[in-house]
Amino acid sequence: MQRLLSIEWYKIRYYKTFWILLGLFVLGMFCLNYLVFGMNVKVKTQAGEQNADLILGHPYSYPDIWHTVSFMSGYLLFLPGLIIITVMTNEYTYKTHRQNIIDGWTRLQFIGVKLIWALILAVISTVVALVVVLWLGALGTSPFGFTKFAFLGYFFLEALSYMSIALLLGLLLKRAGLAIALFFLYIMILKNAIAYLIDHLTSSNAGNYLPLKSADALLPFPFIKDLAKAIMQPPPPVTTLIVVSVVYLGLFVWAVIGIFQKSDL
Amino acid sequence: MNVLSVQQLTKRYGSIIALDGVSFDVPQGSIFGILGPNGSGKTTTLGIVTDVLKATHGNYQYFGSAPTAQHRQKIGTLLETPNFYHYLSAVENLRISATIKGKGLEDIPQVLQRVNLFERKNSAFSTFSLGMKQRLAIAAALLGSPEVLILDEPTNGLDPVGITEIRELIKSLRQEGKTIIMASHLLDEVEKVCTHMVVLKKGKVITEGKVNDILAQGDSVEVGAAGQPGLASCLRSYPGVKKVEELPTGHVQAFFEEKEVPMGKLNAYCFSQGITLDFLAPKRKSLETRFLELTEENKTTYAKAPQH
Repeated sequence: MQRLLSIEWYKIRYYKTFWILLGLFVLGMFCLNYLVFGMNVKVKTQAGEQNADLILGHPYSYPDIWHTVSFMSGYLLFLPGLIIITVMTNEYTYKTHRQNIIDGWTRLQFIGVKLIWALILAVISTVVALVVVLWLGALGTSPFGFTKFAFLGYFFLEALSYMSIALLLGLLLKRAGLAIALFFLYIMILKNAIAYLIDHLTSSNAGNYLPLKSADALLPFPFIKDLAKAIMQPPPPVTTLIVVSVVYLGLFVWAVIGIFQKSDL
Repeated sequence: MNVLSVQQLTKRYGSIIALDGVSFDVPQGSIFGILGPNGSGKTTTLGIVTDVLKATHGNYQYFGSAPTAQHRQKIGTLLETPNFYHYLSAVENLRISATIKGKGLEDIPQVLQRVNLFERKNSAFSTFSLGMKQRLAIAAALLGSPEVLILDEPTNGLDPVGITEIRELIKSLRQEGKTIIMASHLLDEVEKVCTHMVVLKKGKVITEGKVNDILAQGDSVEVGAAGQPGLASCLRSYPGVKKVEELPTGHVQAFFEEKEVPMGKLNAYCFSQGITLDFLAPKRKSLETRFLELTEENKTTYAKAPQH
């Protein structure tokens, strides 16, 4: 296990693209969250604290900050997804997936360590989100508390789902450009469009059960909560969403392992 | 003891049959050539025995037991093209190979020296010429001093000096007692380097065995007896002679049905017929002639097959 990881480390430690993407992600996490935090402050100063509290709630105070930061950070998960796609499709581009097997890795070792990559990036994303919560939380006045900490757990599940679908796309399409295009198209447009269509046609909230959408739905829109409750369909129960997300995750992992074990390289 | 034994390997891509029931054994200590024109199934065969491709049917063993990843760790392999991370240096790439093989890093400088790449060890792979890439791939195959090497077109992309260097390297590896399995479409490469070979065509084995035996089949002798007419007719009357040809040099070439040509007896026979030979040399067929013959023979059998 340690040897598997050290080999992956040798592969990326001098790979500039990886470090740039990772740096952009961390920077983006701080900037995006701070930007929205700043907007929030601005609204409060302009509309008056009482009015703002009435509409916005307290998105950057404990305990709601766990929810707000997790929700906002979800918009940046495409970056670690890009890293996963690059790491996977690089092997195809350089044909090093063949060489690794030829040199004596089993196919399970090769693809297993890529799944560990997905896990590591999900953990990194979650840790960065935690740091952002602690930072922005410290700027506020409310005391620290673990209430609603579960939202960070949902974010981890969301991140893991994004990483595993990115890995699956990289594995299936083999070419970085194609995999990235389809990944972006799905997470930014198709996912929401199809969900909307399903909701509309079935007059239900079944669109929430699409891949990735189920994990997204664990983190509903955190601002203007009362208004949102009034105009939006209530999301499915949290337990159902977790189960559906985990089942999808299992399917992705199973597909990734199965495809790589059986196919010609 | 066979290093590698292959039985009835078949590989289909849809309706295309890339390999059709290929079987052969690689004896320990041999330099085993897999010879065939482009598209005959050489790389497909090697791809299957390195677990890069999955066979449709058939199986293979290393040292008499079912293949495992541990076997691959102990085999140095160059398959088709050099596969390395373009953004990493030669040393960094070899570090990855060595770690996967479970070998130490102390071999790296030595293998780079052996293929004359030591001075470029810190250059990125992407800056290498085709020949340097090929040599780095051979260096990677040499890591950990494996007992068995699989080399697919090892002289691909090399200049004449590089080709000679690699051939010398292969010969010196053989002297170290290593077994080398080498695919090539270059006939004279196999002839110069290999001890055993299998000839493939369109995914089928045409012939297999020791290179000398395969080449010896249908031997001939070039004979000269200056100023003495009747040499040709004398040879025609010798038992076992299939055909006699007069060469532009004045010499005569006699083709025998048997593989072993009795040179001494032939000389004595000519002398008894009143002809003193001043030139007598066995002519081994070049592999090229033999190869064309083999593939021709194969064509004839195709032609004889009933048409549907």
